[in-house]
Amino acid sequence: MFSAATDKTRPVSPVFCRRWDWLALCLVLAAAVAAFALAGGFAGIPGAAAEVRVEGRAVARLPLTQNATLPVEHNGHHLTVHVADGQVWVNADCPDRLCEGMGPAARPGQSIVCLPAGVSVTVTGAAAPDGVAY
Amino acid sequence: MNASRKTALLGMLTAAAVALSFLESLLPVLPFLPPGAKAGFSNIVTMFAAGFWGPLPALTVAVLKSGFVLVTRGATAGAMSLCGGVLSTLVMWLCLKGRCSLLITGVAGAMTHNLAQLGVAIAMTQTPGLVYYLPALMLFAVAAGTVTGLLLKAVWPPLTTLADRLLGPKEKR
Repeated sequence: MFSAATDKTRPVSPVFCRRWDWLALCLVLAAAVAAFALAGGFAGIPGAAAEVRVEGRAVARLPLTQNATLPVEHNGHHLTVHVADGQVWVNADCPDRLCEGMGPAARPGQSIVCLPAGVSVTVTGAAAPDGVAY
Repeated sequence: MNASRKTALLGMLTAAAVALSFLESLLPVLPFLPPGAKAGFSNIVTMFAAGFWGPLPALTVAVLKSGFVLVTRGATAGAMSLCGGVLSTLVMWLCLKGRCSLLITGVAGAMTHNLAQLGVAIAMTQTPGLVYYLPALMLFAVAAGTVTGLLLKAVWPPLTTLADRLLGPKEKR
């Protein structure tokens, strides 16, 4: 692909791809896909609560079994944390709204962060199997 | 002797990096991409500066570009841009110095960029759980790095011609 320029008046750029490059990239891709699959292996476990932190300090712990709405204000940013149907998500008033794209979260370890506001929401723990027989 | 010409080239490269980073910020956030993933088109410029010129001019471009991000998009975006830009520029310079192909260099740069930004995000929010985004970010970085490598392959000859003309004969630099 894209062989080096043969015209002597044109400067020669570094090669785009060498023989084993695609192999190396395939290994990286395989590792990423494997990690992706492993993380997805926890998909069946529901989370217990959403921990809301501001600048690393825990400010609230919302059980995912209870619907709730929590306004959070920090650094001049206004966020709203919503919990419903065992899921948690965030609404924001900032221009790029990246945190809205990160939700909804329901599995332990999943997080939603809003960097400008310094707010993070992390789903913790497995839910107690509340009277459910396995 | 050629100080002003060098400054001019540095300014042009920085302007290109700033313009590319601004264009990138206009792209819509696609739902299937990991949040915060950056294509890093300004890496094309720092990669060229690192390969054609040297580590110092490349780092200068990266730092000046982050300064622009700091002024226009705030402290958080500025800090992320600085960490990602400086680290990825260093990695890309090392790659090119080690005669890696543009494909490998681009992918290594994109990975470093996204890794550094994830690191900053984890440190700022004290949320280690964000490492869950690592595999998705790495998948994205391979695609983004391939695109930046391809684009640089295409623009390298004209950019080199321009820079050579501006800096004058090699012996006199």
